[in-house]
Amino acid sequence: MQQAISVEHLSVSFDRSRILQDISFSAASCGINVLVGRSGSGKTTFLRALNRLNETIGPVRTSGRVRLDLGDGLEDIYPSEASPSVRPMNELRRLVGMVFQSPRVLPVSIAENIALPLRVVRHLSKDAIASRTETSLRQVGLWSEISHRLGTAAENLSGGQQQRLCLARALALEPAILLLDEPTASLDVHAGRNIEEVLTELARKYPVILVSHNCRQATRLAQQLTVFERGSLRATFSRDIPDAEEVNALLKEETPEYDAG
Amino acid sequence: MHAMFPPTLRVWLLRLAPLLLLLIVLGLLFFLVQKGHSALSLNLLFGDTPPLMAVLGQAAVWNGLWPACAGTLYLVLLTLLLALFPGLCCGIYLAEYANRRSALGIGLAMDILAGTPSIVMGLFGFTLIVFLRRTFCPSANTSLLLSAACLALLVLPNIVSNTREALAAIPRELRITALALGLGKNAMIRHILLPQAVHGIAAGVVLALARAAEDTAVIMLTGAVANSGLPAGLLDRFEALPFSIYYTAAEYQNADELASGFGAALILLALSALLVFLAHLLERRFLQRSRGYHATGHLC
Amino acid sequence: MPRSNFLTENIPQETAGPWLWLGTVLAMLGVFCLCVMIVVAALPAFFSHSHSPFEWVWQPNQGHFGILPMCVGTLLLSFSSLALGFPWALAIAVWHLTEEASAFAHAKTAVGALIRFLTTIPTVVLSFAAVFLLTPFLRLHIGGTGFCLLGASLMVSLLILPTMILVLESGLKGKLEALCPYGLALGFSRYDLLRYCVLPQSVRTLTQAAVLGFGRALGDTLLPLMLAGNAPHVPTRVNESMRTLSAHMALVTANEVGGSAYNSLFAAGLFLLGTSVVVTLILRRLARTDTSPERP
Repeated sequence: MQQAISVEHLSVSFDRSRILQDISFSAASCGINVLVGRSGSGKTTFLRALNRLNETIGPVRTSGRVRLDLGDGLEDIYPSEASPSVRPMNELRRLVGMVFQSPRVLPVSIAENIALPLRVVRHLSKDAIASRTETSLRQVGLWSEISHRLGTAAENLSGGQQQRLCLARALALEPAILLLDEPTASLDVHAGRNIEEVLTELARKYPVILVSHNCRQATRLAQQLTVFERGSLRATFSRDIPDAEEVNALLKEETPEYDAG
Repeated sequence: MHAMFPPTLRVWLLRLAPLLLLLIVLGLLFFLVQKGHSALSLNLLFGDTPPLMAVLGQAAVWNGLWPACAGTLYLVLLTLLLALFPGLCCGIYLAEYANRRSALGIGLAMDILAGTPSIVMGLFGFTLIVFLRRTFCPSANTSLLLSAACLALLVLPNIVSNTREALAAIPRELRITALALGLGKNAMIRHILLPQAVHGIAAGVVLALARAAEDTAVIMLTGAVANSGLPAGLLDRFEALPFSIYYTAAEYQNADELASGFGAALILLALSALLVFLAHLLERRFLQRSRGYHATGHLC
Repeated sequence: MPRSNFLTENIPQETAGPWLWLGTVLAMLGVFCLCVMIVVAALPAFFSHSHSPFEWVWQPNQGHFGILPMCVGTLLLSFSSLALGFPWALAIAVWHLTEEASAFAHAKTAVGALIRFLTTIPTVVLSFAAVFLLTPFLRLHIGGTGFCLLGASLMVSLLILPTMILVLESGLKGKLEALCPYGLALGFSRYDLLRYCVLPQSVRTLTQAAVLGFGRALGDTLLPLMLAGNAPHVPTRVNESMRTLSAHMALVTANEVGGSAYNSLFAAGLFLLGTSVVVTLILRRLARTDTSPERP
């Protein structure tokens, strides 16, 4: 299988604090890759390094090499001496779809949530937008529920529906890669399972990187599991995904710190 | 506590302060209404001329307030036209693009402008005319356009600061979401942020309108006169409500003129209060929308 | 594998479009022109010896164009309005923050609304009402024509009251609310907390309010023009007529005294602009601790 993501020796620091240390990671062109780790271990920063969203948070230093397959084979996304010109950031972010922890719908109608990025970022015509809207809403299983009220405010949907809308919005842009940051964290169990089903289906065609807060979910979904600990990689499992208790134990173990007294 | 006064005495003394304010303000208002309400009629506005013809500009009004009202209306609209574009642009630039140094510089300029007394603004207009008369344009004169330009400078800081604050109040999560979707910064501002900020910005604009409608010092020096009828053109003298009120107090000849002065004062008071109330409603709507985004749990 | 070190701080930010630049430049140009014109117009005043505005006598038909009495008048009016208005504003703000009797809860909202309403009253309407209400009253009780320093001071203090109250309240409220739950539990009243714990630490807020009020009083035109009598001399008693720089400027342009009086006009303008700039700088200094919000 082709490689969709190749990360080599990635280090990220904000101001003076080092968040990520020498991370190397790779992902195939389809399948679910799950990242787990305790809070503060750098999973979200890693995810954001893949669509360069760290740069919107504040002054950040990124070193290492990140290559993504955005349709033309692996390409660098950060400029360097080897490849001085890279895709502009907004183009990159269109091709790398991101879904956040809590549903981030735009304060407009359901239809407009999907139409606005398509119109502004991809400059599509009205008909193209309409057909893409229907396709993406069907992909996430939302079409039958809301096709009759596309003009109503997106904020009136339930949490689970909003999160699926965000996923549909990302899909409508026809991304090459999907990044999801704890997408079911703020949802109830039923809605969460819904999303997981959609993701499993999507993983047949897209490389999906998922940060999970839940060991059971992680082991249930993962085709590759990566464990983060304090900014570096603790372990990566590609074939034999351990079960939830083992992962839990791994996370609870602490590398003994040198006690300065 | 070793208080100077025993508590009850101090408490009541403290209550005197707002009581005094209440009495004075209500007293002034009551006085105005009592003296002016009898003058409030179509006659006050249009004098002996039939109202419809006066409004359509077909007949001149000689002893009514209509020319002053129309003059104020034109003045305020013209001021808005001149101030809106620079004000919005400056506010957006300050909120979204300026680096620390330019933000300090622009902010300082706006603060200075905000603190400048209106009479100095009028003097600026006056100086401009004197300068033009001595150099390029010997027939330059004070006019509606000049007044509007000076008023535009006066209200510019209002628009800039309201725009800036409205944009700054938009939650960060919305910005990050927009960027993550692939919108560039300019697109994000145009399509996502400005629509969200519209009510806050509108509140600032309405406040600017109120300020332009009631200001007297600027227009005194730049083209307002007591009796010129409807403004014939941008380069002509004009009448305005606040100036007419001032003029009445200084030069009234009889009880009728005095009563019309009170009537004019009531009209201007009502106009100003209405505009500020409108701005308040807009600001509330804006706060609801931006807080609503937080309240529905869309925090990161 | 090549290691690349990539400093994202060096990426040029997306810049503003040309229209945005134009609008901002226009705004800045306006401010610039204002300051330049006022300064340039006032320059001749410093160099002319015959019609110098730095005299104590204003008698245009005798060739005296001194504006110093008006400068004193402006400062007198501003300080006296501040002296009247600041304690009043402080008392109202303290009352509003510390009134605990439930019977007065409605009064608190009413007074709050009243203060905001007061800011909407146009100055010309306020002076109009005062001319016909306050002036006869003063004429009756303290003699003179009624058009005097006291009348103008009283009304200007009313004018600057709402701004000072709002600044005081917003500055004191946070600190008071932070102390309230446990301060009250210890047996203090809100007033005690405010007076002994908050006020001593709030010198900056008090100064801000005072400076703001002073600046506002300095620049007002209509109230002194219509209420202070406009006699161009330094008043020795509160019931004497006097003239401020702002009123002077309005009168000179209205009467079109002629070219020679213009020096005094522009010098007056420069004085007012200068003082307002100083006030603005002081206020910015006082507000220094705010940090600007970050932008994504």
